[in-house]
Amino acid sequence: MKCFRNAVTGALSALALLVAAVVAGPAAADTTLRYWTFLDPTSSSPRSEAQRQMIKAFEGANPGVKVSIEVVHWSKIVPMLITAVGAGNAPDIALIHSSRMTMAIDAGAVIPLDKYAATLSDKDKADFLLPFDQFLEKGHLYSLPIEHRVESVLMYREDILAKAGFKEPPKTWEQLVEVGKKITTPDRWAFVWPLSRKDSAANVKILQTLYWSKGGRFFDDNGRAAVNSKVGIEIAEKLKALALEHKVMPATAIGVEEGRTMMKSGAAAMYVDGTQVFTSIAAGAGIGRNLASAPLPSLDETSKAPLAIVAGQTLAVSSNSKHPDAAWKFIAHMTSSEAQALSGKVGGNLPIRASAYDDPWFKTEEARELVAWRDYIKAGARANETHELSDYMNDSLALAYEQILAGRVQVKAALDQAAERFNRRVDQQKRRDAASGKAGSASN
Amino acid sequence: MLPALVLLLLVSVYPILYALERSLYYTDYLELGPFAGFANYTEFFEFEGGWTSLVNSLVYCGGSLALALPFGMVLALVLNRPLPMRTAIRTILILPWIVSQTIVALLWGWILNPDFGPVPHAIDGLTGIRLAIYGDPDWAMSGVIIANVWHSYALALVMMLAALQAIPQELFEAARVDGAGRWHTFWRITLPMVSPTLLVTTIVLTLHYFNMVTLIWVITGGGPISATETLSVRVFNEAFVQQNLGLASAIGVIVAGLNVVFSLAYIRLLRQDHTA
Repeated sequence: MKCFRNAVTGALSALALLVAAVVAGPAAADTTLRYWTFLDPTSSSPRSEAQRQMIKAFEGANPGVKVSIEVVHWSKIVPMLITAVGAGNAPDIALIHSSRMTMAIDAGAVIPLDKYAATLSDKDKADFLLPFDQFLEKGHLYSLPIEHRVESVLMYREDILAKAGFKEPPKTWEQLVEVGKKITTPDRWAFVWPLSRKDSAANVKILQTLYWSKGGRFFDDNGRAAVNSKVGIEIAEKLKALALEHKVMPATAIGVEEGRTMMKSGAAAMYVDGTQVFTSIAAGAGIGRNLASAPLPSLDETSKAPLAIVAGQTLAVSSNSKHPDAAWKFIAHMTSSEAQALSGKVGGNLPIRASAYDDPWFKTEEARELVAWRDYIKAGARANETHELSDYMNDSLALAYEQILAGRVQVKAALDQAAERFNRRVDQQKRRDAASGKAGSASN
Repeated sequence: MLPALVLLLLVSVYPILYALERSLYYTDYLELGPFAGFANYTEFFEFEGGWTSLVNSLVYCGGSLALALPFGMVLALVLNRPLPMRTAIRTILILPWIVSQTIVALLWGWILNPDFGPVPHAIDGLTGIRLAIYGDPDWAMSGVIIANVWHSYALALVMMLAALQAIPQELFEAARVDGAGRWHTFWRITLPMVSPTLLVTTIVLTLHYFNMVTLIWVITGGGPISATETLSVRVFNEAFVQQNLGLASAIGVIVAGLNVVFSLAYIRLLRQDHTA
């Protein structure tokens, strides 16, 4: 009988504990943050490895929080986030390229982080490589960069240039042509700039720095296209000449991924892209230390040196996040000096914290390019001009360049067509906004 | 009966009505904006290169059918004969169909890449001509059609093979006794007997080709200069890249309408064939 009573008491106690656990809900230790990133955690790429180590460190420092990674292609993160927010199943955090934040904000897919930003000390804010104000969108903080990148560098093969008698990369367009003619062979293009619509026309926006160098812009003050300006025509004529007259650049449509592969395989000697892919290209067979980078060449002696376009992946909290506080903790960790130093050392990313460069590794030869890019940013940098229809502008301009480089249409006609296509969409947007009482489109 | 009807309404009818409604409005990401009437349709054809996309769709679909059907038929005729290792050969020939469109696209994009692809490299070595099939607006459509045919001919092959095996052997024996040659036998017996299957295969492949996005998107992204931008690729681009759901829905409705028209035309042919 006593045995039976003990058994019943034990069973009731266990049941009570179970009920208490259920009623209390998941403990803090059960918080799982869903994180959308394009970096596959199973990949052996340096950037994936850096992400893996940074997240591991975060989970170690926050035993109650786990990060569940969901891989989404970089070009699809914002469109899919907007759709997922509409469906109510968006992740807590998303890795969003800075140029696409305007679209995510406009669609209401991300939340402002002002209340969290208010907890940052002045010293903390001053430690960012760029002024903290540059992270604000219409006066609000929606995301923090996890890496900087100079989106506008000329990567080049030092060995190929040296073999042709050039100790330095071209600094002007004239020199680019001169070098190009000497190093182009039947198996290798001297210069590649992916300007096609493939891969979301991602590298078309780099053209902005050439526009700025001659006082031009992509968008005017009213948010309409200004790509068909005199400056725009001059730039397009120079690129067209590289392809069709000097034959040092492919006239066919090249996508971003294809351009990178060409550089990795030795099918290109000079290439325009962002610093974020430098390490991965240097990993190509026989490249290694032969790869170097420099600012883009100036258009001519009357133009300024092209500024570094600083952009990068940023971390934002989605409107559906169930754990915004934990999500901010994650962002704070990933943007901390320690995590950033790790990101630079392991992933080859450009740290966003000035103090991260105090790590002894940044004094080594291995960090030569990262430090050079940091100095390039310090010398003068700005973010891309963005617009809520930025992607449409890139697409329209890429379509124009496909026609121009193939020699199908006159430069001015192609650029006029691109501007018209974009402005028509802007007008449509304005009509829609006016009818629904929404504020007009934004550009910065 | 009722649950099946509800399921049908939810899965088939509701999305069509949803797209139809969206196509009549300007949209703000996922939200409906002001009523646009047929503006999304008219603007698509007037300003947004709608006619080019329509022609591209027809060329892509027609070109692929023109190659995949005869190719599948010829291989089916060959495989219907006694051959050594017939099962192994059949398996190998059907393999492309089970490979995902993304893999097929990456494979062909690599094979025909002008800078590191083996085919252009070999052609360059032999002729000195540097072929850039997917980067040249005059050749890109042919290139994606070739990749598509390689991927999809196996469906035609399987369907035709099944139809050929269902033809009673007595018919061929009777034809042989009557002195009919191979060509006559094919034209008078084989083709009429497999024509219902041929039509069904044509319907299936037409719908498949007309709705295809992945293969084209991964190889060319619709370019260069919109040379491979079909209606379905436009739907994807407008909906998921440009976030213009109103225009995307209008194009989607056009694609659905064309699919219905093609299917009805084929079904009519099929019925005529049966009643003849």
